[in-house]
Amino acid sequence: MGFAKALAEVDKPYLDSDDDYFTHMRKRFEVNRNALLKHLSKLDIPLKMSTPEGGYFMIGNIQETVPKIPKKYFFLEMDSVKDGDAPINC
Amino acid sequence: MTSFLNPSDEVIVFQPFFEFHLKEARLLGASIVTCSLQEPKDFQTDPWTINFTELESLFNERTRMIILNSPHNPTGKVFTRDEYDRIAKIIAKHPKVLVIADDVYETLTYDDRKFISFATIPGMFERTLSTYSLGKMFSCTGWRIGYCIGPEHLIKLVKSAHAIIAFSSNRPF
Repeated sequence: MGFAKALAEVDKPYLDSDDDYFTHMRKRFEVNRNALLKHLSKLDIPLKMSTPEGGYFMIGNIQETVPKIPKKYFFLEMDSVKDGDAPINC
Repeated sequence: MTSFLNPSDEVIVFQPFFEFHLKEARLLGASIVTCSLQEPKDFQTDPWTINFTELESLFNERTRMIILNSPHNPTGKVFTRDEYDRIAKIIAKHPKVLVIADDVYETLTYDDRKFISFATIPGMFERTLSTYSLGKMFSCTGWRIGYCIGPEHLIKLVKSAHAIIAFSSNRPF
């Protein structure tokens, strides 16, 4: 019943826009995606973000950052790692 | 998956993938075989691509299913018509293989990209179960209610397993 009711609504203008529900949501998610890409690119870390063509998710590449991560974080018993706070590439 | 897989069967998925595919296959005694999506040359602007030679090499006598997911979780890749045509050509050579088209993000494509349903590729409807999520469609991601569309002979098998697995469903008040 809930689904049937929702489907009956999706072709109508959504909220204050002229767009139907799906168009509105697609545009809204696209704006959000672009904002996230813009601001993540300004972070002072070598993070590369892939631009998603659709869906809910974004995927990033931190390959250049990995050598800077303290090596203790690669071990389960992190407190017992010798020189654990040193970067993994040392 | 419960309706169609037996122990020792293999399921092909594109990697990276939604982790539940692996868990469900293992629960059924089947195994996941992965085809890695090719990382974009320019990670920020280029699309993820498919190595079709690798994909074709994964099919064997144990292959029972391939899962397609577009837009893809988690890369955001939207499969093109040309890619689906090429995948369909490979699948056509393996008549025992069923396609699960995980189309739950069908309404969310960006930059004027067009969502293509794999079931619309010639010859593929009879072998494809297209799955959809009301939770994704209406931004209620915990809702866990969905539906699937496919040919009658496949839907009959889905119904037989579904009646046991999902005796009742949660719903909003």
